[in-house]
Amino acid sequence: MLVPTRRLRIGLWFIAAFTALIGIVNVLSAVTPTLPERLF
Amino acid sequence: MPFELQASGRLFSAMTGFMMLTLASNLLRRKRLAWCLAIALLIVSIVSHVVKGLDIEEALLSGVLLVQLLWMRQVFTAQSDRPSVIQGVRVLVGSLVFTLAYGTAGFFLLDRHYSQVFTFSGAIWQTLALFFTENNAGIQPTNELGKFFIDSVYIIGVFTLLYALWMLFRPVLFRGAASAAEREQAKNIVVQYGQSSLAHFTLLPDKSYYFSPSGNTVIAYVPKGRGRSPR
Repeated sequence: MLVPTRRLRIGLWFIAAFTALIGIVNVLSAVTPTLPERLF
Repeated sequence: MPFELQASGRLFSAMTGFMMLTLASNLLRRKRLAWCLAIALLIVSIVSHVVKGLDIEEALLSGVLLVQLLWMRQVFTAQSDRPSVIQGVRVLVGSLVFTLAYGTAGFFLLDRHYSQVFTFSGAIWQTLALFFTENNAGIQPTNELGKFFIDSVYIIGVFTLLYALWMLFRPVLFRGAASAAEREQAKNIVVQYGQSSLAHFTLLPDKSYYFSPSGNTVIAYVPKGRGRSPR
């Protein structure tokens, strides 16, 4: 079995937090102007 | 770029947002299925961000997570949880909050596509009005994107609610803790080797089974609470 080291725990927390962040970013991206809309 | 393509990109982006939020806690608990789903969603999501409007920043963020997930792939070994009602209720609450948040953010940030300006609380009320009033509280979209966003709130609401109902009814649909073949195998072992008066308790219907590689030994168990990775 893989022993959870401190580095591993930090990696897992990073992945979980980053996944949630991307979830929020995706939702905001769905309701904000796209790059071409911002430029023109 | 055709409006339909951009609109479906926005819709897909919102749906993946919901899925990623539900996957986050499962990734922390090292679930293998969550890892597979996250990889698939991220790949499609990167393409979708670029197609819907050259959203390079979002695509890059997804790319960083994709690399990290692939790099740590050997860590995600945990089996999925058995379906439970509490898990279903949690997703149901999450889906309602998500739909309200999506509608609120949309009306607040896209209000130039409507004939009225929304404050934050006004955007919350407008989202609720979509579901609870007949004329959507008289909202007037001024262009195609405005019309699309109202439809998308309904689509997201239905999508998240269906997912929540699926999670809620899973414990009823998949009731058995072990398959018929596993039960039969456990029964054969108990009949052949069981010497304690407690041995027959291992055959009660709430039991799951873990068999040794030889198939001659069985451990009967009942999962309680949520499994966690060791800390």
